[in-house]
Amino acid sequence: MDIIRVENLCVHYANGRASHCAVDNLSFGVRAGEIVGFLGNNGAGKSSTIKALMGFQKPSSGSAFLFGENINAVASRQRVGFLPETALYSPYLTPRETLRQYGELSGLSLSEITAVTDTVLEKTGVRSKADVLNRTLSKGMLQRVGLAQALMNRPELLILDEVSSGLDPIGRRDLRTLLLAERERGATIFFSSHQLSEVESVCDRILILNHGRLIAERTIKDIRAAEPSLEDYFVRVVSDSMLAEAGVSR
Amino acid sequence: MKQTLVICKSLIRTGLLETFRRKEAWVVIFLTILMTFGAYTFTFFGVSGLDIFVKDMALTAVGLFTTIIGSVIATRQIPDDISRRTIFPILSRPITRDQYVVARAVAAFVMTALCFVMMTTVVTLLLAALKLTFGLIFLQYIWLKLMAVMWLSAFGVFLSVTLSQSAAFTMCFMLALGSGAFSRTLLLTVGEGNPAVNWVITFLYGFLPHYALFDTTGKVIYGWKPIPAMVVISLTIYAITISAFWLFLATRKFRGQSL
Repeated sequence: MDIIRVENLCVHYANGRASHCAVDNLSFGVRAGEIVGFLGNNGAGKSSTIKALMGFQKPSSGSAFLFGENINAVASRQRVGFLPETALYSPYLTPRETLRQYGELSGLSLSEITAVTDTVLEKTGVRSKADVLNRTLSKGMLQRVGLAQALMNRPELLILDEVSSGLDPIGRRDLRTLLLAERERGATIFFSSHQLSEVESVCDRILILNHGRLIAERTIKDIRAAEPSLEDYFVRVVSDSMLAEAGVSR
Repeated sequence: MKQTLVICKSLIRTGLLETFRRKEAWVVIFLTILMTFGAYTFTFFGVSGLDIFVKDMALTAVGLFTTIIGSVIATRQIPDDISRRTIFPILSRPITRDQYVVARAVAAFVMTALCFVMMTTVVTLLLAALKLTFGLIFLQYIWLKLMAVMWLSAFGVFLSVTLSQSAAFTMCFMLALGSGAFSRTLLLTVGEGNPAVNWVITFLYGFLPHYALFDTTGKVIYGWKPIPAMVVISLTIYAITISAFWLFLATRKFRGQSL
């Protein structure tokens, strides 16, 4: 069964009388246990797709399902951990208090929260800063807090938007280890990122988006066998798509 | 219902931590003490019979600062989450948007009510130290003020999902403070004119906020007897109904909003 299933999804943004199409007839699926990278240039429609998947943006048409439940149903988010792009967690709370809040909102009991918090803080490398106010933390450390809140309910599906944003090289290495450990635990991971080296090292499969349309869907194994690198493949596929849109053949 | 209560509890706890760490509550308490004590200093210059003046200053400060802090807290709950993008991890949990809006309004109510109770306690103790006390009607004053805070929180949350944060605050504060003047002006215009116009004015009177109805400051400082229980019950029902109405509108507006 597909953990994520998207069928002919369209997302339009109204801008006065004009309408901008951010996601155009998008269809794909993510199977259980997979790590799937969601790639594309800025404005390609990655965040709009993720927002639609999480129910933050109403699709103009089409449908999407998480664990077989329509995204409009609250139950579809029961087993999901979500990291938004660069969130500024409350500056007047500590990471520990922030995690307690998200644990409570996930429906965990206080004893469960206490049991999970230290593990999650350790996993994400926030433990040493667990009791200082969020406003004193660096951007990278806040991103780690974001990852920690996404892991609080031991999710079966992780949806991460621009997951490596703000992370330094050590942070990115830790992130790779964390994502692989989560997959080992049995979680399915769907994430968007501009860090292609990181995508190449952890993903099973990638989806490439351009101007809201899916222009490529391929396994990393195939890419490694046929292309010099993921970066070369990405640049070629996106350039070809742009030329095709402009009516120029290579 | 149980889940909504859990969400309310969580947002109230973190909201209270934020309010006290931002030091807003301490500032208004300090200003209230300053105003009350400032009024009392007149007695140092030999001016006597200032009991009513000092009580008036103290309760006016409490009322004004409650309206200010209530408007600030209520109108920033949801916009803060949106601007910090923390609304996304919150709504990624299995909670509905309606539950979120209601929980935010309840959190705003509890935070403002707590600030009001703290200010009232400080003022009562300060006045008692100055040998000035209130009658039984003071308890009704506290209850009705809490009802007004409930109204203010629901109204502020409704405005914050409808307007920008600064516009919502200005509107909330002005309508709360000016509600008495608006109501009186409307009532003055009813009577001689066209019946259709009178009907519109009567409708507007019913629809517009009546924050001032809950204010019994004058009665407290002049030492009136407690007001009839029926009046208090009617005002309580009105506060609950109008708060539910604003929250209903807020949830309807927020339900279809793109984030």
